Amino acid sequence: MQLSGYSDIGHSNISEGIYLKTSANVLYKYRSLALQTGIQNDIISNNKTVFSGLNLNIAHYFSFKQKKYSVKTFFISTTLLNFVKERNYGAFLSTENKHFNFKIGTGFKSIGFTQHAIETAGINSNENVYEIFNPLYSFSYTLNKPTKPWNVGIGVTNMDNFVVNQATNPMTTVYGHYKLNESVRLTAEIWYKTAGAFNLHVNYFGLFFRPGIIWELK
Amino acid sequence: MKVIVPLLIGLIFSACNYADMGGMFVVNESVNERFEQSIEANNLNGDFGFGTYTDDYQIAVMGDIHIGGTENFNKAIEQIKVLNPIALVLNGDICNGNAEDYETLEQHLPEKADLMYFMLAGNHELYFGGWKEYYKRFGSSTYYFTVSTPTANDLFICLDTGSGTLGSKQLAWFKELLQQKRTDFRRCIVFTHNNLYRIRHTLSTNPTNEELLVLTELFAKYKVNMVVTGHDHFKNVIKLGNTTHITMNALHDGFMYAGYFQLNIKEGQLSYEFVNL
Repeated sequence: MQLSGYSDIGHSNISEGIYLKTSANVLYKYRSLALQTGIQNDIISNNKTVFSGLNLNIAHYFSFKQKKYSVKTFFISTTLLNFVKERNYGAFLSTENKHFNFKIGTGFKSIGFTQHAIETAGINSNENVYEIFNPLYSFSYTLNKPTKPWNVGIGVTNMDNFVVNQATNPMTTVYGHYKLNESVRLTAEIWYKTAGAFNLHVNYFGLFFRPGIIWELK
Repeated sequence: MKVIVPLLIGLIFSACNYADMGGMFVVNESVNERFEQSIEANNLNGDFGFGTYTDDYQIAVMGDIHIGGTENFNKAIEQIKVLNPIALVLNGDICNGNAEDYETLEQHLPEKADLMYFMLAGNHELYFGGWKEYYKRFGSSTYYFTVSTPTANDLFICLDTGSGTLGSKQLAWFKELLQQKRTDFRRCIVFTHNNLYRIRHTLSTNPTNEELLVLTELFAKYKVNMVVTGHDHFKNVIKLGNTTHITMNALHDGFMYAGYFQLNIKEGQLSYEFVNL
């Protein structure tokens, strides 16, 4: 069993100033399976919805030709201003070696309106927009082997715990962790987001810092 | 990796003719800087509104013309002269960003006295430092215009999404405009180059997911009737809430589905038509 928590402190083109979000997560492992769930809260934000995200993941770990893999399915639900609701679900395959971590998969997205929006904004259609088979990826490199008590790395991906971007909007992250003792690890990440990269005219979209803590329960 | 890297480069080039690869790393003007320049131009020129003697009118919209080539553009201009719309909107990727492309575009544009036209920048206008050329010749890429009929007023908003994001300043301007003016108008129609939702797999960029949700909320909250986009080159219609999202066919030479788009206001009702060349 693992408990973790982190905060996102940052700025973006849509944030109207600095924002602060927090997230709490629980992960339970049983043999080759892992079940993880998390929530996201907007503490300082122009999103009036405090409870803004929920995710649920189920992973299966296995070996193939002496390499370790996992298959993970996920569901993410987010709400903006109690007005727009977004659902993401999908699956990806992960593998890693001493320094590299690769994830590749596919996701489905629906965007629609909440009942509150339908009632207050006079929306007369509750149809959703669907995006299907969006490619998902994450490639990262870490400096040390996983056995070391600390590590730093760099990665590029189009998915985060509560955000799934289209493949053409990559996010770059620099991250690190330090193992305080057998149970507790401190983590820190910096995420840089751009817009328009594949339009060949890249523009700043956002930047945030994510300090966190992971607690292993025996 | 030996296969993947050239494949990726090839895919990027195939997605954007005459692509400015340097733009992936170095930005000449950020979207916030372009917005500020657009507002400067708006302040000089003032708000633009015009009236019609009847309640019925049409607006023609063309996008992804990608001049260099002008054959389809000339043909479309001749066709819409017969239709006699009150205005033409050139909805981004009008040319490929080179100075000579802008030169060609200016030579083939109709006289404003014959046909009032409005334009806004797409991602291709920004290539090769193209924004400077755009701004010098056409000015703003973020503005609004109004149409007054004997019985109602309609609001048309042009937004610059050439960088795949509105940027913080343009987004704030758009939000404020909707807050202050939307209730004064019968209909509100937004023109912008980038299609917002990805219904079809492409390598071209849409706005980030977080921005997409904010825009979706704004369109619903302020009852934006229609959002007209291009960028994807293939026509599409999505209805989300009370907003109809249009993606137009490209008009560039050699495109088998080349066409333009026509907005019709008739007896107070808004309708549309995709016109193939």
